[in-house]
Amino acid sequence: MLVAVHGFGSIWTRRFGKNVESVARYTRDAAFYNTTGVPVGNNVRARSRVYGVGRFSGSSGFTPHRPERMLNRVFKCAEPCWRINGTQVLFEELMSEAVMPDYHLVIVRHSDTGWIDREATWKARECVLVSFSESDVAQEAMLLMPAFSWVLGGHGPLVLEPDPMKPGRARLRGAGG
Amino acid sequence: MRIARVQVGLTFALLCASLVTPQTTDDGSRIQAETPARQKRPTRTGQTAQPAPGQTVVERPAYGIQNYSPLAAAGGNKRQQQTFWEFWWHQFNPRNINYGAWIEQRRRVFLEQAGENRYFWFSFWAFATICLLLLWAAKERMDRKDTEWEAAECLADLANYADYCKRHALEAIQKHNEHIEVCNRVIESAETGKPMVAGDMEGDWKAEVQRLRTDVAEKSAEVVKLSAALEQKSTTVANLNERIDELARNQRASGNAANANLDLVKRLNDLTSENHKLREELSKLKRAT
Repeated sequence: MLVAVHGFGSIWTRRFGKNVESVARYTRDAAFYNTTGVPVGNNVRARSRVYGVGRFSGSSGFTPHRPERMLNRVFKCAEPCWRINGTQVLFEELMSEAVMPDYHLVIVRHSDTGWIDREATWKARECVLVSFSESDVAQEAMLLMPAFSWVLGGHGPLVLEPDPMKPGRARLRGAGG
Repeated sequence: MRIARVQVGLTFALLCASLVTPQTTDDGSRIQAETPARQKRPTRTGQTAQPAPGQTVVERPAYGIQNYSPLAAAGGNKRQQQTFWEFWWHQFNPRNINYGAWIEQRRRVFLEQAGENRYFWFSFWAFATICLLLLWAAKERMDRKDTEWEAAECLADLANYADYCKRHALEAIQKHNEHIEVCNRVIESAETGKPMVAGDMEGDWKAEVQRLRTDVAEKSAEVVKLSAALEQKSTTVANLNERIDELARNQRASGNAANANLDLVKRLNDLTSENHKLREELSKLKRAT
């Protein structure tokens, strides 16, 4: 499936290659994991309510030093797999041409949507929740959203509207526009 | 069978030799290490006449009356018929060694040496102390594990109890809030005279609000989707209009105004009507939300 990246979670972790003598240990053989986090005091903590990661392989074309370059880019991904320790979305390859993605990787924060009531229905059925972090005062969620799906927070519904002219771009739009 | 017996005998002889040779007493006298069977072999009556290594032939007694044995003459030295058990005992112990006596002798030697050797007793007590300490450490470790398990169980009980208390406290707070809400409604109704809403309807009311919120979100998504589709259609129509205008201009310029492209006009009309329908649908949805 094709996934356009529109944001990253607050916590990054990495795993280097196992071969110590390999020159590609810190680049091609490495893997970079992204998940959600919330500010607690002066630090960012996971405080996962639903744990999951987006895994960017070093060989996928991902640039760990400038991750913002990957925004609004489309990756070829494996289907999300649910393991014992959480969900994982593997980003395998950066697509070179502009293609219409199947899903959009969206980070939703309480500052954008308002407080999300997880007990109630707060997202469209088609959305795939990868990770959700929550503290007493902050929330952050990582979602795979198809086009024109919605999330519902304290500020009302937000709909993901793709840009018809630029396939990799999309934005969360309120019901009032 | 014979070869096996020989091998067993050799092995046993080597073992005996290795056990016997280093055993010496404190005063240096060598312990008799020979097995009882080896110390003295039973001599046959007929073999007493064999000369000793130091003896000469002259010193031997002559054969004759002196060597006459009435038992041998009567056939007393003939081999007796062996029983089954004797046969097998002989197979396992062909030299007829008295192992019990040998072990007893070794035990006595060992006790005599150990009792007199202070280092033996020192080593013995040191070894016993180490063993006791190891046992004590193992027991302590097991006790510690048990204690940790008990502590973990206590902590789990406390955590469950805290969770139980928190849940019940939240339920109590919710009940209290509902009660206060009902009281407020009663006060308001007393003040305004309006009828009071039943308190037990609040759960349904909340579910209804939640359902409506979800419906609003779905409708909003649909509105955005339709708006995008409408926008795309409008863009397409505008492009087509431009192309038709351009074609019309071209045709007018070429003087064939009468041969207007009827298909394009028909298509334009269809798209315009479709656009009108989408606009109406969108306005209906907006009114609904």
